[in-house]
Amino acid sequence: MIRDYLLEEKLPLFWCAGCGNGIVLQALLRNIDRRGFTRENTVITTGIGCWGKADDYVTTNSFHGTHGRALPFSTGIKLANPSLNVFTLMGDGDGITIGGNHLIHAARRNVDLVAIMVNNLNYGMTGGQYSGTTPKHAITKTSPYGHVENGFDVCRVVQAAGAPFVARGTVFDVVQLDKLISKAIDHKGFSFVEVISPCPTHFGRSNKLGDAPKMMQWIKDNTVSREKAANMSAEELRGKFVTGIFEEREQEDYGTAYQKVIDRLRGEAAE
Amino acid sequence: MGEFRFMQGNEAMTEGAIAAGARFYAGYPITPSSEVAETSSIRLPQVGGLYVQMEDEIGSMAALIGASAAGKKAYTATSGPGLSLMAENLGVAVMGEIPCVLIDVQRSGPSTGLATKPAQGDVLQARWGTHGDHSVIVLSPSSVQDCFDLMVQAFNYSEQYRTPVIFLSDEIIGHLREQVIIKSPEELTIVERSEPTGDPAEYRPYDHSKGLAPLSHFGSPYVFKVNGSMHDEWGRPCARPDNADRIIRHLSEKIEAHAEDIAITRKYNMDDAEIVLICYGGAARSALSAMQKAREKGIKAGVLQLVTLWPVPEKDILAAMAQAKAVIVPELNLGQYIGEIEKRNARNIPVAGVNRIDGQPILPAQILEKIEEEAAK
Amino acid sequence: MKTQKEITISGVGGQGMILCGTLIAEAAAVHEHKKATLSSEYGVETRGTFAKSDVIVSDEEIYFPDVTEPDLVVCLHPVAYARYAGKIGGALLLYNSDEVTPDEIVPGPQKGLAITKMAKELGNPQTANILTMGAIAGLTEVITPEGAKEAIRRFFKGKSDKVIALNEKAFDLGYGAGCGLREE
Repeated sequence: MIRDYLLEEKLPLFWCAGCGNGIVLQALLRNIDRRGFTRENTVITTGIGCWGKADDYVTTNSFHGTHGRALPFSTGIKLANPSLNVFTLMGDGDGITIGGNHLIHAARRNVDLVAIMVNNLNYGMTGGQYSGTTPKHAITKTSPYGHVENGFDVCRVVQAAGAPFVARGTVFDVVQLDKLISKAIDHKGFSFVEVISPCPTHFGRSNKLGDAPKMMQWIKDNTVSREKAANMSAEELRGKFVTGIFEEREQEDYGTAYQKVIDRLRGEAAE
Repeated sequence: MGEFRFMQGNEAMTEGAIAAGARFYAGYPITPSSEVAETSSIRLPQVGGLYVQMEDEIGSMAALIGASAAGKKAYTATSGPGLSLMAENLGVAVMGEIPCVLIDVQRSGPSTGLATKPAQGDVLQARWGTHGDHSVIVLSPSSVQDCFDLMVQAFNYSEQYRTPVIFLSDEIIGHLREQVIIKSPEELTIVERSEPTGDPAEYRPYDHSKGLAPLSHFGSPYVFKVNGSMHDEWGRPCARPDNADRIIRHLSEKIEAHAEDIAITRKYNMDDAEIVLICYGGAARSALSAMQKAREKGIKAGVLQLVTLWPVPEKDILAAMAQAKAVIVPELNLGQYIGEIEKRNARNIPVAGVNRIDGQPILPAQILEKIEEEAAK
Repeated sequence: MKTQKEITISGVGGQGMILCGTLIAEAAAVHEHKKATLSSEYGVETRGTFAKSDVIVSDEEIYFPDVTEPDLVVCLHPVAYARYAGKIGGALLLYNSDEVTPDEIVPGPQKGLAITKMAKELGNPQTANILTMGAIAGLTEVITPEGAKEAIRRFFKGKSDKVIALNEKAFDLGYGAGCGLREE
């Protein structure tokens, strides 16, 4: 039961009304429950930020480290004990901004874990400043005249860095999100899921996107499936969230490859 | 019986770590520590352990802590620039009370400095490098044998006190080659992590009301939370002022209250010493040579070598200060540890530094000159 | 009373001074049960700039591991020769006569040995460092040929018999030349 994984005494969630984090947490815990993962064999690692508080609400093992470093903490945890099911939860500040270097190397290194990056297009916890995914022209607390930089297309970055499983969903389409997380768990190796989520308190307010339901509608209206996007021009795709699975291929993970080295050395020593 | 070998300090650290039971290394190569990474990448998989080279020192420190939380004794090696980057997550190990060993083979700084030249410029950074109030254990080797023996001790302290231990070496000792006895397991005392017992539902990794709580590892029946944020005894976030006060005091006191148990010092010709050299690490070699030369000249010089730098081995320093006519502190920096000596100078005796910061070791003759100067007063 | 032998082997990075010094110190420590240290100085570049190795061998504990009162300084390159000649007291200076022109007035004796040429004649210029090791052993008697060869075999363990034999030969050649220079 999903409630077995929820630390109910810590409820209510500290997230703002209309925040998408609860939807993602629920989708994750549903998947953990469906697999029958136990509190003992599961570790949830988080960074710092609104989504980085997710570990507060789980009954599994958890590791709440530093801003942007959740992936390297997870790398150590998984490599030290490969029997663990390791989930790394990051925001866009964590995942691609301060932790961008860790993200691309984690994708390349290919340690067997699931990384879920909730992208709400700004730094929510610190009050709505721009992040590495904030789109050009967007208004934030630190881009009051419109953002002059471009935001990352995170899935393309992670894909280019060599991750074997890369997908994007939204908190609007919970059925799809659930499936993407499920596939990420099934996939052996570094599995990355980006989730587009609203921040009505900051990004929504600053950019006059309306209240929570309106922002949900805004995400829905701007979501394009990968299949549909294939026939759209760059101009037509500007400001759109393309969802679906971008990468899904077999690739030997770090732990498996390294264990072969250990076994080979053991064999040579025994000879 | 141990094995008699001739090797470099950096290599001996790897052997010491493996002898202590370490089976995980995460690091980023940097001169003059890279041989620790290289030898670890050879040796660890031979003993079923794991080497991973991370994208930077921030990630290295994180992976190290993660591995330790998952039950493996873990270590890394770096030098000044890397220590600066590791400072961030060193705080997570302090706050999360996760054992690990961080080797710093000091080189000349600041910044990139003189990358291949020795220095002892990180003595205060090792103590205070990560932000916030905390305590930490810092050990300083002065021989290749130390690199092996003390590394075992570093892991033992780390497990015993649930703290990161900084193994503060320097280029002199890291690259020095000399004889070392690689002790066999039966000759070594290895402290293993004290795993919790009792009802897993009641396991509180940060409840130190009955002495330091045992640390579980991820994957055991004892589920737990590690939290770099202020937390309660369960590891759950907690912002109550009394809780924060308790935690921060604990992080300091769990080490400071055991300072004398952690203190390792060595005394040479101290029985009748009037001029006392207080030294550590690579500079201790210069000091010992200078003391020998001073004795040949009939000067009553002695050496108090500090192997534990932090917490400060107070008792031995005070005893040395009580008998000395003058104290000389040779350091490969502008005078970092001398402040600790001056703080404890109740009799107001002369306390003088011999300092060198040009990337060259302190010559015994430089110290001898100072000894003669103080002896003549 | 000075009880320890202090030897500096200097040149530029890439000439194998560290290996040469390490094998001497290792032979002394492991095979002859003396105290021995090897410390080195080098630049950030792997090749081409000044580098040196200090070997100290003693019957007693060695504290300061850098050479301060050398018995022998070996200069394999003009850069090293320019640095040491004239600044080494009465120590013996051995230079590689294929590289160094002994144009400085030195307080002690200086002797040349055609190390590069000898190594080439042996069939492999890379044996110069082992040849130098032999010359140092012959000149100073700081280690015995038996101990030296044990250290050589240990270092080249896993390599072909041919490689080991070549290096032992290089040592012998250097050792003979060193003994000859000592008796001069």
